[in-house]
Amino acid sequence: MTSVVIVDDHSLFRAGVRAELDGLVDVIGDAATVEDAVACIVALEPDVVLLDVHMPGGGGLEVLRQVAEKRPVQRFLALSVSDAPEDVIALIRAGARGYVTKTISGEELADAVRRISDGDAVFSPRLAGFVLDAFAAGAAPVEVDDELEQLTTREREVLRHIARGYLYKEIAARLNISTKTVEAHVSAVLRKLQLSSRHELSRWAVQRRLVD
Amino acid sequence: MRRGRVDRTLVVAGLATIALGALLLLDRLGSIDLRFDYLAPAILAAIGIVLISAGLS
Amino acid sequence: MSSAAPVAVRRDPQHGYLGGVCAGFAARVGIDPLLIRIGFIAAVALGGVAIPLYAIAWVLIPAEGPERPAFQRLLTRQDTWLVAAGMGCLTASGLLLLRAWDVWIVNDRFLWPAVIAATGGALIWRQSQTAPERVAQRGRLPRQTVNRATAGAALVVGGALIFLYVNDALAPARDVVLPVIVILLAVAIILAPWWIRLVRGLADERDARIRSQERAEVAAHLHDSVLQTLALVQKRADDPREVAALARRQERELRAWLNNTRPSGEETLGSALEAAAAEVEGDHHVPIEVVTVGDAPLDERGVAIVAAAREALVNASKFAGPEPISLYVEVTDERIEVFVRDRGPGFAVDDVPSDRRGVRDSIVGRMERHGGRATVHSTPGYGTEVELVIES
Repeated sequence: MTSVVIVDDHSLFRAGVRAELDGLVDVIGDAATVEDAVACIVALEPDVVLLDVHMPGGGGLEVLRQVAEKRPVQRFLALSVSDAPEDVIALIRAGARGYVTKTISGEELADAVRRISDGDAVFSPRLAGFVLDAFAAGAAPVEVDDELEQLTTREREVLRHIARGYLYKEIAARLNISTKTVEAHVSAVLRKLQLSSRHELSRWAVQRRLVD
Repeated sequence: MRRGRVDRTLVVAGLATIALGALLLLDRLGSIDLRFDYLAPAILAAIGIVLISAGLS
Repeated sequence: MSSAAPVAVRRDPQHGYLGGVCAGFAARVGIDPLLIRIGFIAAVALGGVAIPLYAIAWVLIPAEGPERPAFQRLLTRQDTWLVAAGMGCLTASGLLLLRAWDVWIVNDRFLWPAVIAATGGALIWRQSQTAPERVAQRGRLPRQTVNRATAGAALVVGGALIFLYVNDALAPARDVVLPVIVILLAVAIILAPWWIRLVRGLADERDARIRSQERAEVAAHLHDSVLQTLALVQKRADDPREVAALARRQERELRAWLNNTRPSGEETLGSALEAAAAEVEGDHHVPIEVVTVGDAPLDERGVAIVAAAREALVNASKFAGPEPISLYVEVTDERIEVFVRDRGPGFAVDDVPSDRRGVRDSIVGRMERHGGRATVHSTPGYGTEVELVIES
């Protein structure tokens, strides 16, 4: 079974997630602060880390950064109450491979954990919406030659389907491609999100904050 | 008039005061003879220049 | 203009500098007010009779348009006044100098009109120069005010010194003034720490007050909403669906409050759809997930698509079971697209039971009436998706 470490400063929530995931994945540890989390992750080497965004001492972002130095292969799934675009995008760009909100059901959470452990990216419909918004906001950017700044039509199509609530296999059926291809597209989008020019996405996030 | 930039009004005011002071000094030294008939226009001119520069910036 | 009945002359306070007399005349005669003003200034220069004439005109001629406090517009443009006053000073100075040099016998009669003429000319010139917007933008930084005040003080001090000098009172005055200044400086230096502490204390107190105000606001909001909901949740703990619905509604409200989002349903398409989704969710207890990409102000077509979407949502909530419904909105410059997707049993599009067809026709009809279209895709076992598109 996939091994998981839960990082969240809300103890009730940690206990709840443990109970929900019981039997579906193997929860080998949990932590409530940034220091404990880093130590725990480096020591136990789980397949996936469930990471909360908002924690004292720098939050999930800080954990990501510190662990990236010591154990760069670690995979993170961000799990949070917040669905503010800045938080989501910031964590993805720091290296998380997926983002889900805390209202997710136990089974879906276990499924997401497994997918991350297999190397795929997990995009909730809302995250897909944010990404579409972010890459649309920079429409006609000055430096078009860099492919990292744009989404391909296929990727955009896949993201739209995710935003509409389709599962990967449903998307594969609709677009007449294989599930693996869908996952490849999503991973490509994730890479673009992480590597594309900081300037554009930060600007989008700031704009969003101002508009909202 | 941005912060950090030189305030033009102040510079002009300073220069005008210096000019007036120079006139008075020259009078003291005896180089020129400063009657009130000359002083009043000089003062008015100084004030006028400062006001104009204040308005223009 | 010539064929019209003779129009009485009116003042135009909106476009005039003082009372709008020149502007009114210009409008009546049909030439640029600037020319009239130049003529007026020339008349003033040649003899002061033009000024009383202007005053009489101001009083007697009725005004066209709302009366404005005469100096209001000019007062807001202090730079205009400064330039005008400065020009007046320079002119007076020049004329006095000429008189001192006996170059040109300047009668006192000419002095004041010439000064006023120059002032007026500068006023007009300056007023016509900068656009009002730039002036409004130019806020007065505190530093600017300090500089101006310092310049003014320097002028006053300079003037006082000159006065004393002229009256040969400078030397004795210096014996008195200097000690006084030294004492004042010393007192200021002694009192400085207290002064600084006072100012800082004021700033700190203001910060603390703001913080406690915000805290009170947060407490009030939490009290009104979250505590009530939690109490309700405890009471209804045996009905999980209602508890979940209560919790979802409260969560949405609190999120919106935290993000300071716009008031629900008002201005934009996105918020209208979110409000509609919240209502449907409240009525039918089926969770609706809303994802929006882009936004636009709400116009007639937006209202139509929101209504159609709401129908689709209600339909899905009624027939497509407890699984969450996805509402996806994409707004671009060319079109608005809304997708309502449920995970119900689905149906074969061809053999649709008559009651559901009615609803579907209603949605399709509503969309087509506004220049859009509605399509329903469904696969048995995989749920249904309603696609609504309107081109902008």
